[in-house]
Amino acid sequence: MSALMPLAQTLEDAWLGQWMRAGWGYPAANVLHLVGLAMLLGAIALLDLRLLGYGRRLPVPEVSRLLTPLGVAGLLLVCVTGVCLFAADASALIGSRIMQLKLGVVAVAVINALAFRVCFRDRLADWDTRPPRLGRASAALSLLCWPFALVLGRLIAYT
Amino acid sequence: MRPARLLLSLLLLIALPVLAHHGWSSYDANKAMRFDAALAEVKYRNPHAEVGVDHGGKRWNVVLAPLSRLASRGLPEAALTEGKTITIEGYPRLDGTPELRAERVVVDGKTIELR
Repeated sequence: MSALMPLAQTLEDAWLGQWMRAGWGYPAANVLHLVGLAMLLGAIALLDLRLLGYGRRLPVPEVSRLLTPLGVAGLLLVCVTGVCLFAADASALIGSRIMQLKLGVVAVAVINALAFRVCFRDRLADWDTRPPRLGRASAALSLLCWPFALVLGRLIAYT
Repeated sequence: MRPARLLLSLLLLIALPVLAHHGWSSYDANKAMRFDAALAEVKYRNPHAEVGVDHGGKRWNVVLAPLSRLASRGLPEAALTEGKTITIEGYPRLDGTPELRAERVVVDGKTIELR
């Protein structure tokens, strides 16, 4: 992480960091970060639960088509607002163990989601008759990773 | 349905410690401190303004409040100039780090409640 220190310092000193520390930028980004988190977690957790067999009366492809764009929009929102919040205090946050762990968990969750799309895109239609075991494991991992990232994110302020 | 129920229970288990958490937990509410000190450092910024003061041979980081609250309670940036002596009342961190969460400060004879 120390290799990233100059980068963090640059971000903190740049206009974004300055602006985030000065006025309403920080509270606004904070609120939008939560909105994005609600969109992302709400959508992805419902989709994961459906993939694990909850709510079988709704077809998996339809559920996926409805929830995936919401989840992706939420992810984009948390990424953008996350960079903003990070910029306000980047040089201190880069050294936070909880922050590092959170970014690791988010990376695992995103890679897991991408891998799921690549591997099981064509298996959604007959999911309930032939559910791939690895696909269900991926959904379970997702259901653990995203809430864990949320908890770690909140804990940054308390450590 | 059983795996889903199991996972929901797991989620709740993860969530519980967060519900029990609050902003004061890292600070020792039983050990209130009050002292006068000159401002050695002023960081008037979000998410919390902080000032650095020397007290008892240590440089204390004193956490004040978000800028919007400071402005509405009457503590603008101009009131916190380096070198000015202020009164600080608050709670130190539990882990011994010289950091204090200020409950109130007295600046220029005016008491500003921060919570």
